[in-house]
Formats: sequence, C-alpha cells, structure tokens
Amino acid sequence: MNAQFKKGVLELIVLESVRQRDMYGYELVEEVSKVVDVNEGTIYPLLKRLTNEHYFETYLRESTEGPPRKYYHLTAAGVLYRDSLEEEWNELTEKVGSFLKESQHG
Amino acid sequence: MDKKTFIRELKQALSVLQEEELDDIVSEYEQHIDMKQASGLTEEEAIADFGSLNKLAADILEAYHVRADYAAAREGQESSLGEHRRRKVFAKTKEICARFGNLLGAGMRKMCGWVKNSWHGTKRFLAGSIRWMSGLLPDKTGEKCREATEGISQAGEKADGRKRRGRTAGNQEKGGLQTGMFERTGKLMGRIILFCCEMSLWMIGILWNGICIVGVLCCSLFGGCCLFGLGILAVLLLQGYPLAGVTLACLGVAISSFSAAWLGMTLLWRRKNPEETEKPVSGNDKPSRPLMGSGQNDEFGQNKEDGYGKMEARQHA
Repeated sequence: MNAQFKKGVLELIVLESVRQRDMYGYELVEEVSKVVDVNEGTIYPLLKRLTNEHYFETYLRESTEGPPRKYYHLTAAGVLYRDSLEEEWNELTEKVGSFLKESQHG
Repeated sequence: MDKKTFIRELKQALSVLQEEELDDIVSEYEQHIDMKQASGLTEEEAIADFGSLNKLAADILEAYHVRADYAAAREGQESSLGEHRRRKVFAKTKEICARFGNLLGAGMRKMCGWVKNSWHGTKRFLAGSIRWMSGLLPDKTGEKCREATEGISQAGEKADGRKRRGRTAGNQEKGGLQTGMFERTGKLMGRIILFCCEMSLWMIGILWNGICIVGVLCCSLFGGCCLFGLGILAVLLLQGYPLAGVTLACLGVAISSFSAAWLGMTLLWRRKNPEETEKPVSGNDKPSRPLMGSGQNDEFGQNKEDGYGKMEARQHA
C-alpha cells in the first residue's frame, strides 16, 4: 500500500482503536498492524503527538510480566477529533470513488 | 544492532528533546523490543522492524514539532558549537572592550588635558602673583642695579679720589644709610615673602608629586589585583559559571584603575618635560623656580653689590 495513504489514515485507525478500549503501546501497534502494514516504530511518535495535543490521556497500570504499562485513553477532544477525521475520510472516499466511477463509465 | 546500541543511538539522535520526554519515548521502544522478544523474535529482528534509525528519529522529532535536520545539524556541530559560542563571546567581549577603551581613552585624554591646563593655569597664576609681589621691590632693584653698575664703572676710574673723600663725605653717607636701611628692610621683607611663596610653591609641587606617585602606585596595585581576579573569573566563566556580568565589571574596574594610574603617570611625566624646556627660556631674563637656591644667592650677591654700588654712587655724586 502507498506509504502516504497509510500515513494519512494511521491517525484515524489509532484513534478508533483506543476509542474501543484503552490500550498500551505495544498492544496498539499490534492492533494497527492488523489493519495496515506499517512500520511499528512510527506509531509511538504518533501516540506521543496525539497525547501532546490532548486527544489521549495516559496512565500506568501494573502488569503481571515486566514493568508497568502505559495505557492510552481517548479524551472527549479525542472523540470529537476522531469523528471529524472519520467524516473527512468518508467524504474523501466517496468523492474519490465517484470520481473514479465516473471516469471509468465516461 | 543490539538493544543497548539502539537505545543509546536513539537517545543521541533525540538529544534535543527534554530528558523527561526522551526517557518516556525511549522506554516505549524498549518495552516494544522486550515484548517482541517475548513473542519469539530476536533483538536484532525486533529492531530491524523499526527500519532506519535516522528516519525513525526524524519521525519522532516531527511529532514534537522539531525539525529533524536541525537536530542532525546540532548533533554534527555539537562539539564545534561550544567553541563557536566561546569565540563569539570572545569577539564580542573584545569589541566591547575596544569600544570601552576608546571611550575611556578619549575621556582620560580630555581630563588629562584639562587637569594639565588647570595645573599650568594655577602655576602661571601663582608665578604671576609672585612676580607681581616681588615686582614691587625688584623694579627699583633693577634700576639700582643699573645705577650700581654705572657707579662701579665710574668708581673704578675714581678709586683714588674716593679714599680721600671718604671721611669728608661721612655726613652725607649717614643720611644715605638711613634711607638705605629702610629700603633694605623693605627689600628683605620682599625677599622673605618671595622666599616663603617659593617655598610653599615648592612644597605644593612636592606634595602634588607625592600624591601623584601614591595614586599611581595604588591604582596600579588595584588594577593588578583586578586583573588577577579577572583571570580567575574568566576561567570560571569558561567553565560555565554564570559570571559574565561580574567578569565584565572586573574588567571595567581593572581598565579604569590602569587608566587612572596612567593619568597620574602622564601628570608626573608631562609636568617635568615643560619645565625642562622652559628653563633655558626663563633662565635668560629671570631666575626660574628650580634654580631657586642659586638664584637666591645671586640675588643676595647682587643685593650686596647693589647696596655697596649705591653707596659708591652716592659717594661719587
């Protein structure tokens, strides 16, 4: 898949994943990897940025194995942002889809 | 690449970040590698999944709104940056010092000139007043001098006649002596006043010289101490202590104390030179102050001759 496509949609996938349930970094990377094949290293900076922009909250929770894990939780602002992103995505796919269909038939 | 190397290199690449943030993001990667290992992958495989470290670091920095090339450039220049900064500070300090020095130099030159002028002015005034004071009597002395010299020349011719007339002219001589006594005491008073004035002037000169020398010594000593302090402060400043202000202040004090010492030196030095050049000029018409002792003798000698000559002149008349 085109890297630019992936990069653009990655944010929406991460937001949606965290909206379903709070996750820690590695878990989230695995979740996202199921949807799009992405360099795992690039997800952490994205999480960081979304946290800095207050779309995520983080908290630590003890784990049975290894050190405590940092969990990500979607904030109200994050929910709004996710919704706006979804809208944009739908609009884009709709427009691009219809454009492609038109050019195919025309 | 093993985990330790990866973490170390990642930390280095992200060194522009705050330590807290750096530790936070790096711990995520550490944990990620650990979990990958737990799921059966090796360290190397887990790290290889991240791709290029530089690309990764750039992505992370982008999330922090930091330009990756800035971080890279900073990393490259890190060693030379400190030196560059130091050089910049040096250049700036030099410039400031030069400007300050020029300003101070101009000020000092002006002040030096002013002090010199005022000193010469007071000297001239004092000398003038003394000349005026002594001029009241020596004016007559000058005339008498001429009379005396004339008298001597005439007396030389009529030496024999004078011996013979010596006794007969006794009465005339008595009257002459009385007026001569008055004039002589007046002249003596004048001489004493002149002598006192000259002595006081001389004392003032010595005192002034002493003050100048002591001032110069104190200033240069203080300046040396300041320079020493400045050296210590400069070393501390280069070691990273926030002492720029104190160092500058110390530099300023050192420069000003040296300048003050230099001012004193020029006052001492320039005061001596004009006197040396003035001596032959003033020595022709009147005995100048430094020749006071010998001048006094001359004058006393003249005085005696003068009185004698006058008497002779009277005799002759």
